[in-house]
Formats: sequence, structure tokens, C-alpha cells
Amino acid sequence: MKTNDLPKFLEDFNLLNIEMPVHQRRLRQALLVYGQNQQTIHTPFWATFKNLIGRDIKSRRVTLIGSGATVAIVAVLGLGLLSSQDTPYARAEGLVNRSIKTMELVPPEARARFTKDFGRDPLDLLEEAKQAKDLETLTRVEFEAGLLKKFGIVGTFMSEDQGRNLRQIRASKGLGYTDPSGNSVLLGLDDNDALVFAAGPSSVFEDHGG
Amino acid sequence: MYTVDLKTEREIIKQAQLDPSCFGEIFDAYYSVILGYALRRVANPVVAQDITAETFYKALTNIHKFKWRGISISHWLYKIATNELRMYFRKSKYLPHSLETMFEQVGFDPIDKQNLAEEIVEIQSHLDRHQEYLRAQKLLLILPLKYQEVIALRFVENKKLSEISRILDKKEGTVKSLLSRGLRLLRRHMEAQQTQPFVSKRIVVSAKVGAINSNEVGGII
Repeated sequence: MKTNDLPKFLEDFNLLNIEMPVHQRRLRQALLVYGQNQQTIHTPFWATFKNLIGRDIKSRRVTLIGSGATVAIVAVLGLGLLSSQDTPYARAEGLVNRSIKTMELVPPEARARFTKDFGRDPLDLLEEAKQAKDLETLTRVEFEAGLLKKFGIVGTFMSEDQGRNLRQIRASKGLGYTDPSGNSVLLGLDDNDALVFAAGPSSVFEDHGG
Repeated sequence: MYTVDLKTEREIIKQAQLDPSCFGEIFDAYYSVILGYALRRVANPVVAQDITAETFYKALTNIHKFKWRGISISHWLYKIATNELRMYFRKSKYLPHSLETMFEQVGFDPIDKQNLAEEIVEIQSHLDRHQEYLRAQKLLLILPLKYQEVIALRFVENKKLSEISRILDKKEGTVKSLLSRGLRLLRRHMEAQQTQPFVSKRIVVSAKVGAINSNEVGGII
């Protein structure tokens, strides 16, 4: 190690990139469950609202007036939007239709694998979603948060090799609805709108949580 | 590693501030970054895991205080991790929230049966194969913490002066002079160790490292 090579030598440090997937997965689980428990104790909305309001009275007053005006505008716009076709339900229905088209094109063995993994045929699930009155689209973050809150599932992992390994399924968005028996169902869709993950009341879903 | 752009990151932070269950996305994006930083500083996988766990635990519990200023949350995470490392190096007994204590707190039993200890052993043997890195890491430890931090962030983590300034809450000019003095000091230590005989080298080094075991440092450098 020569002293004039020092900066170059130190830069070589960053070649030491290491992954620790087992620790990562477990820490993620612990943090998310902890976060969920904390949410029931604190009121994050108030914390955020407090940040929003700021410190001095003048800005607080301005913020309150601004918030009031915003609420009024949102209410007017919301009523306008509801009367149009572009409602959250219409968007969710559009996504279900696209997903049905995608799933009709996937090879039968891929559909069979989904049925084996989740205990329900993907097209049956999508048809059920289409009939639901409370059908909604979810972002990936909302989908994962819903899995945790409603089913205690942390992340979209599937256990394989009799539980020795976990495979992560990347769902980029989701759909949520209530089935005819009144149970919540969450569906995870990939970038091509294919159904890749499902969580619902059936016991077969319960084995797949991380 | 999973990456997000600034616009998406801002949205994720907003959601996580309202609902901590949405914190997973931030965690996925920066876990490897923070673990790597901690590991390169301490060269000990168990300590690096604890520092990473504590960093994300603090980030999660304080996410509602985070204010978006148009820069990535990674700088905030680096700042928390740097403070944790500072505490680790200063305190003889550093007691962070380890993974085990977190699981105890939340009463959570992971279904993943893969052995965490095996992963640690694997990482340790990976580190042992990088003797050059271990030598340099030990050499850095001889320096006062303020120099270790700037040198590690600049040369190991490849951070710009402006980024280091934000992470350490110091002016850019101060960072620059710390960097220059730190490098000068590091060179001096290297030269001293290259010219002195092994026995006296051990004495010189151990006198400067303070809390660090003299045999450990003298034996490796």
C-alpha cells in the first residue's frame, strides 16, 4: 500500500458490496409489524397535520384558510368527477377487464400454477372482483399495507421447498374488494396486469404470508 | 437493489408518514446501501446488522418528522447511521435494537426458517478474503472519528462534498478541510508504519487507537 495511492486505494473499498437477504427479510417483517402496532397507539394523521400547520399563528391561519378552500374545491371537483365516467370504480373495472384479457392469454400451466399456489382459479377471482360493488385499485404500497393490515402478510413471498426457501413475487399494483361472503380479498397484479398474488379468506391463502 | 426516482420517493414518504405500514418501500430501496455503509465502517457483520436495524427503526419511528427538501431520504438515513456508528465507536457497550429485540417487542415469529447465523458466517468469510480492505479499515480506525467519517463518506461511499455536508451537518468548507487534514494524517500513519520496526510500530499504533485492542491493530497493519 503506497501513500500516494491512498485515495485510489480507499475508493476500492466500495467494491465490497454485500447482500444479507435473510436479515433484510426478517428486519423488514419486524419493522412493518412494529409500525403497524405503533399506528394504533399514535395518530399519524395528527402528527402530519401538526407539521402541515407550522409554528407561527400567521402561517397557521393562512394554512387553515387554504385548507378550507382546498376542501371546498376538492368537494366541487369530486362531485363533478363522480358524475363523469372517470370514477375510481370505473378505473378499477377497467383494470379488471385488462387483467382478464391478459390472463386469458397466459399458458394453461401458468394458470394451473396460480390455482395450485392460491387455491382459486385466477379468472374466477377476477370475475368475482368485477362483480364487487366496492372494487378499488391499489398502488403497490397500498396493496402491501393492505396485506399486512388485513391478513398479517408481510411482503409478497411464496414459500417453496417445504418452507425452506421463499420466492418474492413482484406485484406493481393491486385490486381490493369484498367477496359475496363479506370477506376482504386483495389481488396483486404485475406490470402487464397479470394476476400474480392473491390473499383472501380461504385457508389456502394463509400459508403464503411472510 | 431496488431503486426509486425522487418523485416516487416523495410519494412513498408521504404515504409512510400517514401509514407506517408503507415504510417497506423505503426499506427495500435503502437497506443494502445502509448495511454496506455500516459493514464497510465496522468490518463486523453482526454489528453492521445491528446498526442497520437501529437506523431503520429510528427512521420508521421518526418518519413523521422528516421534511421533504427535494433530496433523497438516503441522506437522512446516512445521517442516522453515522450517528449510530459514532455511538458504537464511542461507547464501550453499544445497545441497539437488534433484530431479536424487535421480534420480542412485536411478538413476531418469522416463518422463514433459513438460518441467520449461516448468513453471518458467510459474510465474515467473505470479509476475510479481502485482507487489503481489512488492513485499510483498521488503519482508518486509528484516526479520530471526525476524520474517519469524512474519509469514509467521500472515498468509500463516493459522496459529494455537498452531500457529506448535509449528512454531517457541517459546512462544505469544514468538510473539505477535515478531509484534507484526515488524509494527511492517514498518510503519516501509513508512512510511520512502513518505516518503523514491527515492535515499536505496535506501541505507536496502540498509543493512538485508545480503546482499540493494540494487538489486533499492530498485528494486522
